[in-house]
Amino acid sequence: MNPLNEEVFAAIMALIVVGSAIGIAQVLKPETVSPFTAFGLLNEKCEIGDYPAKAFYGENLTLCLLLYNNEGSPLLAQIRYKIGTNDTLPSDIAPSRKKPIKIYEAMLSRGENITIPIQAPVTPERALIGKRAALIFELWIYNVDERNWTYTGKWVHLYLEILEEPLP
Amino acid sequence: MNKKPVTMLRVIHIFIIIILHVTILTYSLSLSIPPAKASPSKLQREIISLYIRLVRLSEEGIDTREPVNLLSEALELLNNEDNASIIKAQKIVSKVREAVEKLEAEKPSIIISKNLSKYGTAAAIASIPVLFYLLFPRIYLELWYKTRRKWVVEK
Repeated sequence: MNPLNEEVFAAIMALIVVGSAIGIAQVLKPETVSPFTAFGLLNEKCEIGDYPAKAFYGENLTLCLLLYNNEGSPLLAQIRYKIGTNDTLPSDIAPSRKKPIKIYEAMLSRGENITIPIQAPVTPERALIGKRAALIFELWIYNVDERNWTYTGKWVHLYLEILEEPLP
Repeated sequence: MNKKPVTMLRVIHIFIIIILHVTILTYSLSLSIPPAKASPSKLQREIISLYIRLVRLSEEGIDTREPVNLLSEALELLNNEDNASIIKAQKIVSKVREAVEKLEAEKPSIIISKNLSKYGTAAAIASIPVLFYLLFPRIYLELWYKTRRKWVVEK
């Protein structure tokens, strides 16, 4: 096969032109990302599963929070920790009506993930002692356009049986 | 006759004692007075304003990973809620403020160099078919002749 044969050369040229056009498109195309954030609750070893099922009133529970930012820009996040019950859980559109006990803040670059070890104080209303309570972690992000904290509709919760604090 | 050197010696002794006193006093005062620190809420407000500036820079395609990581470190320290951590966070925030100002000042040149590299790459890729069309036949023939230079024609 002679590559300088008119037909062979034309075929090679066609391949090179197509390849070059695809290459240029790849270089010039605007970066597209499907924006999302991932949020999860991990156990004290920062692993999935093996979560505590009971806790003493006033105890500090060691847990980990996982955050992943794929928003296409840096992310300033707030994790609002609340304690409620089955009736006061947040929804996709509204946060829990309970007041936050603690707020954890974190900032992530685009495409970055972070694991935040936390000490969650188990201090619900005393009426919940001996009952099942939910530790609620809501994800809020700072909205740069509106200049305020916005609830993302993402939350995680962990049900726990609250035990009377042990005698000193 | 001996009075003068003795007086001089006393003056030097007194002078040394005064210097020592002043040094010790300054040192002890520096230990007792805590360095000025911003309140956590003021720092948080500053972190938010720096974050907004970083988002704007990031939207223009500028790499903001380093200042974002530093701010993340500052937020982690603020979560600790103790004085030492707040002072450390304050130092980090002022470092980030300088970095953001520098990035904002360098923004036009960063954007120009990014665009140059992007369109330069595209131009280089676009030139491949032209170069191939012009150079390939010549190179091919050159190699063809070179590989057959020692060939002998049989009679």
